[in-house]
Amino acid sequence: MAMKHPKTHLTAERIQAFLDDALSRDERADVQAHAASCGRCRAEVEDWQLLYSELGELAELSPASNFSERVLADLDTAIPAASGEKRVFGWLRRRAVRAAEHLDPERLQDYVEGLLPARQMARVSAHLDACGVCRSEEQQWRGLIQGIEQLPAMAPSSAFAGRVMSQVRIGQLVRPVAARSVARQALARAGRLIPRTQRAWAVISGIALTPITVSALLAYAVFSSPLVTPGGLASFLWWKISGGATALAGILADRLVESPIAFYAYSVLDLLAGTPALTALVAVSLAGATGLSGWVLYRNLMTTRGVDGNYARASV
Amino acid sequence: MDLDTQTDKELAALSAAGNEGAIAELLRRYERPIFSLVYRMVRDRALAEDLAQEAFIRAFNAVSSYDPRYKFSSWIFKIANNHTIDHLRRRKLDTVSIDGSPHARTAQEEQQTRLVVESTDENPEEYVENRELGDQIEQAIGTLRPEYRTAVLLRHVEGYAYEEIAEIMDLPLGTVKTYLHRARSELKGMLAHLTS
Repeated sequence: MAMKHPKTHLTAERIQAFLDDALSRDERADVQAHAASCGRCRAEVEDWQLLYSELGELAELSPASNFSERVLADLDTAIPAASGEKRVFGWLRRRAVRAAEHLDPERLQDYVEGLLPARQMARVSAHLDACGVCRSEEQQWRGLIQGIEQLPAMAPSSAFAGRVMSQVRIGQLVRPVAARSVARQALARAGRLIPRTQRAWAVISGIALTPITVSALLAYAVFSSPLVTPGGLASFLWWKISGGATALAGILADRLVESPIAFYAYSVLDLLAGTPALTALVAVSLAGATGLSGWVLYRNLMTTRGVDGNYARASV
Repeated sequence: MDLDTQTDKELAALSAAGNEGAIAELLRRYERPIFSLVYRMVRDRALAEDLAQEAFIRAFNAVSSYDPRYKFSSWIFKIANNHTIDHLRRRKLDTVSIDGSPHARTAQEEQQTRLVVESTDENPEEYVENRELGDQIEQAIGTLRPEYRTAVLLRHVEGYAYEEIAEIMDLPLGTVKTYLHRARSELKGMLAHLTS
């Protein structure tokens, strides 16, 4: 709960002493506590901070021994009317506003929504304090958002819930996916492979026609020679293919017979042939593993996904 | 079992196990917000009821596919929004009228499709004034692109966080922010006479 602040407000001297770090720890704490609970004094402290920061910036540009006096003298000449702290602060604010551009709509919306980081929120807030145009814009954004937020809630008709409940397949919610549904899904997936555009059809046709065209050209080149007949070519090809296949089978058989795997396989088979109990155990294990892997595949592929695999897309 | 005190996720799990009471409780919790969103998207009461009904039936019949890592509200809003946007795209029903269905052929039909609001504590004058203001805002929202409409309604009527809206609309967070900036700017332009 905020503390109630004392009736006496902070004096200009005390605020300056606070900003100059000239107060004891307890006095600083008093000033901070008062500013936290008193809007007027908090504004005064912020105004003095603004003045200090302005003076600090000017000092970097022109570091002279009597700098502060000259700056204050400049401020007095810039404000023709009777000067005073309020006038100085007003002038500084206007100058700050002129220096900064107006806030863009996105930034103002984010400010109203509270989306900006704390530092940027404070910066925008300071700009709004000094800029009437942006303050007015901010009020408009707030008004718009409040207007939308106050739109009334709506309810469907009283029969709505009954209609929904009558069509929910409550008894079927936990049933596994039916075979008919699986077939429908497979068809739907296959249907996605059918081209939808002319360009896609052209690409598919091109891919399909290319090997046919090349084969036709080759056949024409071969058979256009008077020495080549279809029967002769077929015999030649068959001779080549069967010769190649026989040679390949020979190489593979040699490698297999010479490999250590074949030796181990032979040893295992020999062992199994000698012990019928072990043979039966291996057969049962294999059958069990096959059944288990089939069940895992079914659970993962058939029963846990929606139609399109998207967690939020309902399958019907 | 006291279903009122169960969380949405617990109710969804019970629904997936075939608990009819859990489904009814979820329906009770979400029928108004879902109907409000769909109605404000299509501005046709009968059509909104049909679309909301279809969305609920799809959702409940597929509740076993709900992933509890996500919020149930996001899931069901996503289904309803996708269904409504699909419908709007098919029908190209982008702009809508304020007082009843744009397809109403008679005054009676128009009256039947008008907005029905919940009773409020406002006095009659305040009600009329707010109704007029609300009507103008509703009308302006109705002219936005469907995607902008969804974003504005989810944010400012349903009060969803930006991250949840991104989840519901299946969009990056930055896109949701852009949609909302643009939507609000368009609304501000249309409602300048009210906000200034």
